[in-house]
Amino acid sequence: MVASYEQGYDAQAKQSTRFLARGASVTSLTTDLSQRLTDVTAGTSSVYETSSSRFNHGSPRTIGVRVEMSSANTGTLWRRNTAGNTERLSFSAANTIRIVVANATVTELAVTAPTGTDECVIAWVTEANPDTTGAGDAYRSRIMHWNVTDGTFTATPWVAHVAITTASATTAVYGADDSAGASAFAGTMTAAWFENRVQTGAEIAADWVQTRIVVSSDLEIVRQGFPPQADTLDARNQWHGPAMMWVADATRRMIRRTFSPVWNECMTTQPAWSDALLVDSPAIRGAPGASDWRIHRAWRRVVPVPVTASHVWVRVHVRTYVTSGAAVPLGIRAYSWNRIPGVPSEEGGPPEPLVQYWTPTVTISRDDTSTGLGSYSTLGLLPISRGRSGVMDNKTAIAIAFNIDPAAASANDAAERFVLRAVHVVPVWYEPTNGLQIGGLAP
Amino acid sequence: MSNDEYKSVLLRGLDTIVPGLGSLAPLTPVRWAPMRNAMRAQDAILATTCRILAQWSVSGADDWSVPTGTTDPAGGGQAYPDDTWRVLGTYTSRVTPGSVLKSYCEANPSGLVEKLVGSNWVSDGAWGEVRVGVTWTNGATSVGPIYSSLGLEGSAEGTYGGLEPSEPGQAWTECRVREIGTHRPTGFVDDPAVRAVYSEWSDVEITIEVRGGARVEHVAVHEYARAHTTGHDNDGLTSANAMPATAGQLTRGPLTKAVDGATYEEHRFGTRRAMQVAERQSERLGPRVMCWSCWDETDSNIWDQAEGNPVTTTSATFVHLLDSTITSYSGSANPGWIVGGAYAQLHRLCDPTLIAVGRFAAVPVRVTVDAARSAGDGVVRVQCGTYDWVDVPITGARAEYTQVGYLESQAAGDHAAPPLVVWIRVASGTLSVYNVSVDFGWW
Repeated sequence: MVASYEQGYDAQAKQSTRFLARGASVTSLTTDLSQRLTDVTAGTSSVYETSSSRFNHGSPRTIGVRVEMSSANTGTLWRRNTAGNTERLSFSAANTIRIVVANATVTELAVTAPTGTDECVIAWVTEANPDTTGAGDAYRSRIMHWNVTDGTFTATPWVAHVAITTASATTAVYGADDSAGASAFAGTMTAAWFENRVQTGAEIAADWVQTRIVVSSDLEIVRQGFPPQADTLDARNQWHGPAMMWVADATRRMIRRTFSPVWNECMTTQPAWSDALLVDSPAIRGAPGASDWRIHRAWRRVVPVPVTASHVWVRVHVRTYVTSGAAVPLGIRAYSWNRIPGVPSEEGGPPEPLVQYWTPTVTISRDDTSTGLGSYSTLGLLPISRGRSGVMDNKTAIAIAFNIDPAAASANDAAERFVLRAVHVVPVWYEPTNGLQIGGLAP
Repeated sequence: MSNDEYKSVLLRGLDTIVPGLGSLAPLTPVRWAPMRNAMRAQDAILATTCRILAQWSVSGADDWSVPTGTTDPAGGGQAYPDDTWRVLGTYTSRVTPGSVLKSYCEANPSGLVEKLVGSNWVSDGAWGEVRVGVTWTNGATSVGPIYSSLGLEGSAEGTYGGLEPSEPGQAWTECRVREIGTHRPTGFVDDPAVRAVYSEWSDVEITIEVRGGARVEHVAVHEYARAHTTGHDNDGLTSANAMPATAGQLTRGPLTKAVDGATYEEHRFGTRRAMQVAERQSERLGPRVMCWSCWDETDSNIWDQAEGNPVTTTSATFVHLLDSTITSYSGSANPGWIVGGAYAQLHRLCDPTLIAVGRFAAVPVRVTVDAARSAGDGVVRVQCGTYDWVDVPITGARAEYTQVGYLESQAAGDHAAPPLVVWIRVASGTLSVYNVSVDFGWW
């Protein structure tokens, strides 16, 4: 099939795209690349559509443009409606982006002046205000601005305002106030789009600013399907049909919808630990069967785990450094136990046999310095060792363990310091094709 | 057929069901088995939740704040805490429909407590207590705070009693996991009228408190699916189908009319109800994103305070909530939290075909901040990803301030996504931050 005949062949022509154009200048932005395939008309320093119904949409929506511009460039990027209903996105002065609704300024965004002729992406996002208290704050908007050339990004907070009128389908114009070129933007507009949906900063950046690759994963990724809507086709029919299939499909996608991090913490207290401090103490012990792996009680917690989860994914943020000499390898693991090791049964009698799993060892060897940020280490997927009785029923104890110089490769162990700064533990479902890949059982 | 004023379903003991699609093909007469499975599966989804809505921990602290127990309590001055409650944290959250809350803690034997006799502080023995208070709100109806508390055993060790663990590993072997209680609105179990009020997306404010010599390591409050009830004439969007457990044929055919409220009619057995539930669940179910409180176990004499010391700033530019030396966002290096929304990717933000294309994910959130400012307005910014954040303006005295927006999220459960970072700044004077809660949002 010829690409241009394939619906959605343009990656930026989405189901919600009402207009999309790319070209060398604003007057060449006439060919609509959206799935609507409805071209607009070139005016003086502008493109426009008269009595437009597709642009007669107040919320939710995203209006965006890509421009080549210098510091001195001002002018209108988008305008629709007139007089008291005027809505406008413009450079109101050098390096100041302004949005206007109902002929009143809603907010402005001051941006860093381009150093030359820079490529910039500008978006105006609007949605109904979920916390509205009346007509005066019925909608809210946000401006985002990327200078692609110098890599900067700025944005306003969400700002509440009155509704954008949809009472009249008037001319919509990109690049100037009207088709005759009044208040024309002095830079060069090379793309324009209109979405009937809120776009996040991440989405616009991924489309227009940066290259983001598809996230790799060992897991089945289940997203919301096409959102079900009650009282739609077939909803009261006495035949099985699309509505019930829609129900079943949506329901299948939600079995893990309430999965929520079980340990999500940026440490309030971040002491530095060393080989000398990781000796046996009231708070510190070795991992069962692997006493070189040291665990502080503050690095362990009991958490409930969903019945539909098989594993947790674990990562930690660590600052590791040396007081002198060469960097020392630091081993990190995560453990899952069906109960806290060494703790007698809550109900009397012998405790449940300890079942433990752990992640493969991650070894880092860095000198972040004592004031450096440090960075994240992904420990990966950890099978859940689930308690089966008493207060541990459907709970697991998760712990982070450290081992300074696990392979005895360094002669500088005494100089090693590390700080645990954050722990993230997220429940997941993992179903490998070759069977359950567990870390190992306790010896 | 049921002829009750309320339609209820017990959410305990439900098996997870993956409803089939093929047996619901269009234009085949309705058969009960596949339809029943799909409807029951809707209820089973609610039964899987165990989201942690609030949790507090020593958060990296090597030791507890309460004194170790080596000082003679008969010294005259106060050396140990009294029986005043100390608030470890206050958290706000939405509750998954049909859930009540359960809480538990991990704690070591408690330290000494003192009481004032005349003008002298004397020993009140070694004991501790932890309690969780929950205020339930749904619309204009509210009840609480309703407390559940747990007495913690005292340490019998040391000259005066109440000594901290002192032997290697003793803090592990003496750690106990104890259930604090079940939290629900008064009458939730017994009175369907109460349950009908609080079954559907209630708000809760949760406080975690301790008193005496409590040596708590971790307290968590999590959802526990219990039961869901709606009024017989509720024809709106609801999150549970309330499919009866009977396996037999329920009606001769699907119900095709909407409820009219005239009688206690049954309306759960048709596609209309199923679609309503699918729409509501599909839009609203999601993770609890994060929560944080300012209580720092290493603050000196914090055991003698009614609540933690707020994190403060006088910086006019953003600094990290927990490390003021961090002033700019780094997706790989900033310590922070994680937005674990991989299983809650909404179509309008994360469609894998044309919007996110597997490259990223974004979720709607509601941020609630308990904070105050002394002079100029402050801002608490919750950021995840380079381009998406939520700014919460702090414009007056201590209160809960809230704002909604979008954050980047994990795109898969094992995605090393950028961290969530909380930034604070103030125009003049001092900004004080006590608690931060971030919920999965919907609007």
